Amino acid sequence: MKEPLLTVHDMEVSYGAVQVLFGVSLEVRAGEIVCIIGPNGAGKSTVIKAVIGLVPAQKGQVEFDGQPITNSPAHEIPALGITYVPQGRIVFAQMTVADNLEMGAFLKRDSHKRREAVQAVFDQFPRLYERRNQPAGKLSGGEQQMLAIGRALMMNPRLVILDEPSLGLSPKYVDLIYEKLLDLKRQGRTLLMVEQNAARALELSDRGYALELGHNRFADTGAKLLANEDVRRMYLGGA
Amino acid sequence: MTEPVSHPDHILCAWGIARDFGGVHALRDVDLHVVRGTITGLIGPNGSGKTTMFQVISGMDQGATGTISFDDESILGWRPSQIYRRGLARTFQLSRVFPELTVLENLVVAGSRHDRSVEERAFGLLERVRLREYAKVRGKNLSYGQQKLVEFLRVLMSDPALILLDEPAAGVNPTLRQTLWDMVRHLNGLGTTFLVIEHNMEVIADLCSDVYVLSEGEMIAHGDFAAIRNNEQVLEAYFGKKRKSGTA
Repeated sequence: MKEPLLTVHDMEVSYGAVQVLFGVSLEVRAGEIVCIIGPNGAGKSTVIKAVIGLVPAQKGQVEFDGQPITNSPAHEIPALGITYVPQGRIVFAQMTVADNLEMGAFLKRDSHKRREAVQAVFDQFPRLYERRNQPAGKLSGGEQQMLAIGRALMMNPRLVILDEPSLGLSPKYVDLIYEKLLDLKRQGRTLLMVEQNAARALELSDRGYALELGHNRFADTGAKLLANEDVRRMYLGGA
Repeated sequence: MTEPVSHPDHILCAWGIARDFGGVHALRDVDLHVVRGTITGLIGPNGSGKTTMFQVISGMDQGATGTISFDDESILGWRPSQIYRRGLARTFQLSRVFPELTVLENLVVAGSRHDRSVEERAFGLLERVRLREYAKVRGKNLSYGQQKLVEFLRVLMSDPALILLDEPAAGVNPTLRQTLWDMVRHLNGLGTTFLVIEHNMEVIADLCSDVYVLSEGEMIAHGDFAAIRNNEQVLEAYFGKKRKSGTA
C-alpha cells in the first residue's frame, strides 16, 4: 500500500474553553478522494482548518508527504502543494473571473506560466472561459464554486481540500460539481473534502471518515459507509 | 382553506408560512404549533429555514405570508418590539450583549422600569446561574459562553410566556451548557414555554416532548423524538440523497 500523502494523527483543537476535536486521525493517499462527514458540530471543518493552518492544533501531528507540517502558518501551505476551496465559495466579487484565477497562482512569478495555468482551468471549466471577463460577483452560485475550485487548481497542487463544495447549490449544479471532482480524480488529483451531503460525498469517495462531536466514529470505504445504517443513524444521535 | 382556529392548548400557531428570498423558497407552507407549557424542538439540516422561521415569528422578518397567532392574537406584521412586549422573546445564534455595559446593566435595560425590583430580579437570575460576581463586569470582558448566558438572562427579564432559543449552547463550554439547560428546565417547570433550535440530538431527546423537522423550507415531520429518529424522510434530510441513477 502506498504511503499516505497526508496524515493527521490524534489532533486536538479548542476554540477558547470549548474543545471541538478530541484526537481525530485520518489519512489521504495520492490519487484518492477522501471525505469527512458527520452531523453539525462534529468538527469536520475544524479538522481541515487545522491542517492548513487557519486554526492552531493544541495536540497532534500533521504530515504531508512524510514531512511534519503541524501548525505551519496558512500562507506557507500553498507552496507545499496543498490548496483550499473554502466553504461558501469565497471569490473576489469585484474582480473578473480571469483575475480571480490569477490570484490562485500569485506565487508563480512567471506570467507566462500563470497564463498557461489559467488556460488549463478554462479547458477544465469551459463555462468559466465564457465568463472570463465578467466580475466574479455576477456569476451564479454554481459558477462561483467552479471558479473557487479552478483557483485552487492554479498552483497545480498535490492535494486539494474542499469545505462543503455542494453547500447551497441547486441540484443541477451539485451534479455538475461532483462530476468535475470525479474528473479531477481521473486526472490523478488527490482530494480531501468535508461534506454535509454525506450520501453524495460517499458515492464519490474512495474512503470516508465519519466524525461525531470531535471524535472519529467510523472509517471505511465510501461504499461501505454508505451502506452502513449506523452511520445514517449517527446523524440523529440514535446509533 | 378554512380559517384556522387555534387550539386553547397552543400558545403559538403558525399556518401556511411562506417566505421567498428572490426566488429561493426559504419557507414553504410551514405549519407549526407550540403547546403551552412544553419545550418544543425545531430541528433540521443546515439551511433548512429554522432561523428564518424564528425571524418571521419574532417580527424581525416582515416579508412572510401566512398566519401566526400568539396567545390568540394574530401577530404577523407586528413590530418586533410589540411582539416582545406581548410576551414572546428570542435569543440569537450569535450572542448580542452590549459590550460597554456591565452584566447588570445588560439585564436592567431589558426590564420594564428602572427601579429596585428590576435590579433584584437581575441579581436573582445571576445568582441562579452563578454569575453574580460578574455583575459589574463589562459585556465585552465576558467569555463567549458567559455572553450567551447573559443574553439568555436578559430575555428572561421581561418574564416572557414563550421564549425562542436559537442554538443557545453553540460555542458554550460544557459546564455553562449544563447550567443553561438546567435553567431552561427550571423555568419550564415554572410555566415558561420554549421553542428551541438545537443541533445536539441528545439535548433534543432529553428536553423536548414535541419535535418539528424542517428540510429545505418544508416541515417534513412532527412528533415525539423517538418517532422522528426513525422517520425515513428525516434520515434522508440529514444524510443527503443518493443520485437517482444509483451509485456513481
